Amino acid sequence: MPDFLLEIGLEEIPSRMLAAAQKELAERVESLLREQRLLESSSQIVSYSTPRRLAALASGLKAQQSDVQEEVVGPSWKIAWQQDAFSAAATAFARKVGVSVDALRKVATPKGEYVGATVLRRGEAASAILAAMLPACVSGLYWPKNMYWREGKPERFVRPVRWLIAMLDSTVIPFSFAGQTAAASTRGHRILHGDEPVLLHRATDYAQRLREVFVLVDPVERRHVIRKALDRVTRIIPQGRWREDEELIETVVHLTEWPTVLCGMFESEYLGLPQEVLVTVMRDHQKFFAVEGAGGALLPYFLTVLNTEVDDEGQAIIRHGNERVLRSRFKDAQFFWNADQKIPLTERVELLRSVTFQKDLGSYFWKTEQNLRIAEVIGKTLQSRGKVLDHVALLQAVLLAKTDLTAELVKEFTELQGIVGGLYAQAQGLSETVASAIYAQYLPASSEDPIPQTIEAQITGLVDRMQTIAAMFSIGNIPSGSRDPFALRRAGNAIVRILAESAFPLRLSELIAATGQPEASVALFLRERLGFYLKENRGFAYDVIAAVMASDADDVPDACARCEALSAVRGSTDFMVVAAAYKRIRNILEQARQAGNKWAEADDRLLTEPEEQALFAASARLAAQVCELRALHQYRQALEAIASLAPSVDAFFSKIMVMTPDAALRAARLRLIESVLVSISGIADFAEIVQA
Amino acid sequence: MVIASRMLGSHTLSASGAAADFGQPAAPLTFQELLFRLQTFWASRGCVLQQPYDVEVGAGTMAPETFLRVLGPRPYRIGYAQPSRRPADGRYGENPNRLFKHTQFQLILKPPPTNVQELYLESLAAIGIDLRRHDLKFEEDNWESPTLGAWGIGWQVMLDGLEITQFTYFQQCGGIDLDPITAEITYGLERIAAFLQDVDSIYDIVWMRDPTTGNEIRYGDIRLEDELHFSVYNFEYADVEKLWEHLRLYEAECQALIDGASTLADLTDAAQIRRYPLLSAFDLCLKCSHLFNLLDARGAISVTERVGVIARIRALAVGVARAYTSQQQAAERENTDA
Repeated sequence: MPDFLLEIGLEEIPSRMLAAAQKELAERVESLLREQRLLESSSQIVSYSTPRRLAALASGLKAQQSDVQEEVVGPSWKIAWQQDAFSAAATAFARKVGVSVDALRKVATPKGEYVGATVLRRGEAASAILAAMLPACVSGLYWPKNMYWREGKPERFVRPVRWLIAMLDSTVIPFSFAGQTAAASTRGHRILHGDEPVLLHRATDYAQRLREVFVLVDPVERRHVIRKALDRVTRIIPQGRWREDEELIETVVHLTEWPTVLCGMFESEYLGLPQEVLVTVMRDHQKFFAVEGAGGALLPYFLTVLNTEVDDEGQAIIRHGNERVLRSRFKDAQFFWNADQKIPLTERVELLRSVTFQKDLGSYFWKTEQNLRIAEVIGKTLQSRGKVLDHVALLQAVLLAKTDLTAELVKEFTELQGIVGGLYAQAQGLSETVASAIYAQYLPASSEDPIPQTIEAQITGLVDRMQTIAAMFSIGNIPSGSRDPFALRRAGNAIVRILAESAFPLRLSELIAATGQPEASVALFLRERLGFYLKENRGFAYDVIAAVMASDADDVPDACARCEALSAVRGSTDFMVVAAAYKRIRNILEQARQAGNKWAEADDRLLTEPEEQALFAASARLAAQVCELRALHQYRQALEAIASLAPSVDAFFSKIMVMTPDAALRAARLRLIESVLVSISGIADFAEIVQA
Repeated sequence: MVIASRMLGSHTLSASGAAADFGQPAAPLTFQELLFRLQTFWASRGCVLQQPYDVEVGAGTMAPETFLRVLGPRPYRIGYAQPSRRPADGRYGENPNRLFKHTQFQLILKPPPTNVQELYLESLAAIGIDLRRHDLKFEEDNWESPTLGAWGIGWQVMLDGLEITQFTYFQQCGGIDLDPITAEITYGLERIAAFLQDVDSIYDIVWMRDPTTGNEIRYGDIRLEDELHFSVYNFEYADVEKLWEHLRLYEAECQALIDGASTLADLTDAAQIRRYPLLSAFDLCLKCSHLFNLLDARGAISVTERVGVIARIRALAVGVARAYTSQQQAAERENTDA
């Protein structure tokens, strides 16, 4: 039961790509082994990665493919068997497939009778198969960004390949890729081990052998080591704990082969800067972890994850270097902060004239004017519908929302746009409502982010994004396929989420109308975004979403409520009966209409059968009930009421033929089923529901 | 010590000798020693050493020794210090970390040897960085210059949290796909010197130390006035109308030369082909690029215009790169035929 090791040695792979590449390599190796029948049921595949390598270790494989019996077919029986003996053609066939003539026999196929034989195919050795298949296995790896490096540009890969290992137990599998030939030697840590090749004796020695040369090949182990080290190092800081940051942990896991953690300090005078600024500098620019005290306030420390292990003197040197860089960045931030205060936000509105929003549309000053117009309408509309909000503060927030784009601090740390504006508004004595609306206007920036907390911030963000979408669509910047350079889809998603989660009594069409550019393509676009939200964020089944949206897709919170209700009743038998009846009624009415039937004036008194009368009564009762529940947005109860129609619908359709020859009776029955349809419509188009 | 001449284009360079040649220095290197060490190191690895290019450029990449040499098939290895002017970055000599003109040590390895990263690490040892006591990371950073129609894949090299080098495998230059690929290593000399000497301001970097008296001359003694005057000129005095006019003139002349090059393919005399002055056309293109930077620093280019002017300069860079490549090919062909 041999073990197989594959390692691809590379110049440093971008950290953001490593996790996916490791996973893909494991999958590719597994599918290769499976397709080649080299996997035992007990075989196991593990994978590893560091910035300089990707590896997979498959243990307990078959050394050899098992032999297989294969049926082969030759010439037709008529040609093979002539004058009571096998012909020359048959003999040639037997020789070709490697059996004696005696082993030939007649086989019946759909195309007629042929000569055939059972042939034993010897399984090939695993090493031969792997040698042949590995180049394609490795070269097929997907990378988000590739490069050339060799003369003649024979291949593209994420970074230059510098060595390869392919071993079955202790034997090297001969294969070449990207100018490298597989061997049994790898490399250790660049600095702690150096350039000396590291020989492997057996495939399974891999992880242990690399540990000896200062490489932890398993990212899971590195993550663990880093977390433990962060905890340990933070212990020396009284009350201190490092600020949890899963994304940053992932980054440093994939930037290191031998991680250790070092704690540094900065002058506490910089704690006067807002913690958002401090954390952005530390996290985004230096990949440092912030340290906070008992109350969550920042302490003047940072933690950095090294890709090496050094003595005390080395620690002092590295700490000093990192502190030096951080200090100069903080000094810059401090300088910008102070310089920015000289021009308050209110005076910066004018400066927006020279900041281009989009060259064919106008400046951010122009955009601010547009945003204000829309905010005026939306704010008033929401107020008139009972939402409590500070309209004056809303307009001031919208007026100042973009002014921080002129601030030096934002030019330096673009990821802090909005946040800096909010902080400046606060520092300049504007109301908390205004400051927090500016601060949170870009939330949610991703699907993990929450929506802003205050209604003024929600509207500020809503209006800004709606204006952007409408304006971009008006000049033909419409997202298509993978092209969405202005991130309009993300803006659309945020609009839908804010509407859904704030439960604004505001229809998408009203929002679009407020922009003054009510284009059909914008409506369609937002409708798509709603579908995306219901599916990706809320996880509703696609037929539920289709049914709800076919009925109405304009009122976002309402669509959500209807999806919830429909998902809840969808499993019940009664509901499915009604849903089926809905589709049936629609089809009958459609066909009847096409056949020239008219039933608006039909006489209900002709309905004398008990099933007709029962359905008539149930439908009339239901219509009133559903109407009332729908008005109260009590969709769950409404749908349950609708489901209660199942017995009478069922009885009706099993006993009554709607399309009876009697024209008057037919009209009355058509009128009856149409009334049923009307009474159960308006929540979702049940025809979209997929019957289990 | 091995400083044998090595074949240009050989794929591996000897990695031996570094430690013996460049022991750990007692005092941190002065600014000029830093440059000497890098030059000596790379010269001993078979690189041509060149002086800075004498036309204003924003980066070492723009000097013809990089921009034009990376085109075409001919192997090349060169290192040079390149003062790089970025008018908008000027701070009148008041900011300790920002300069109008900084110095890049630019290294071009075409094609890159397979041990290019190891060589780079040796060069750090050669300037007194003992990597066993530092934290070094290669972090993804892909370089792109829209004005040059150039891009590459690579890293920023981080030393104790400081970006000290930009390491790029050029993929395209002047809009032309490259083969062979070139490795470009750009050391930020001021940054590295400030790091080595542990000074907080670039102006405090010791530029040279008199070996007899021990007297030190600092970066500020030599460069501060330069920074001040050029900041004043770039931000206050540069005549916007004249800058535009210069830009138009240089652009027209450059474009005329590019247009004239279109007939080169028809020529049959290699000498005739070879003498056509495309290197001069490239100088004119560099002039345009610098004028654009000046106009930008002056705040004379609106964001809308910006894209357009960048496109104009890119058209020149791409035009020169194409013409130069055809010229090389045509001259080569006629040479072979003759």
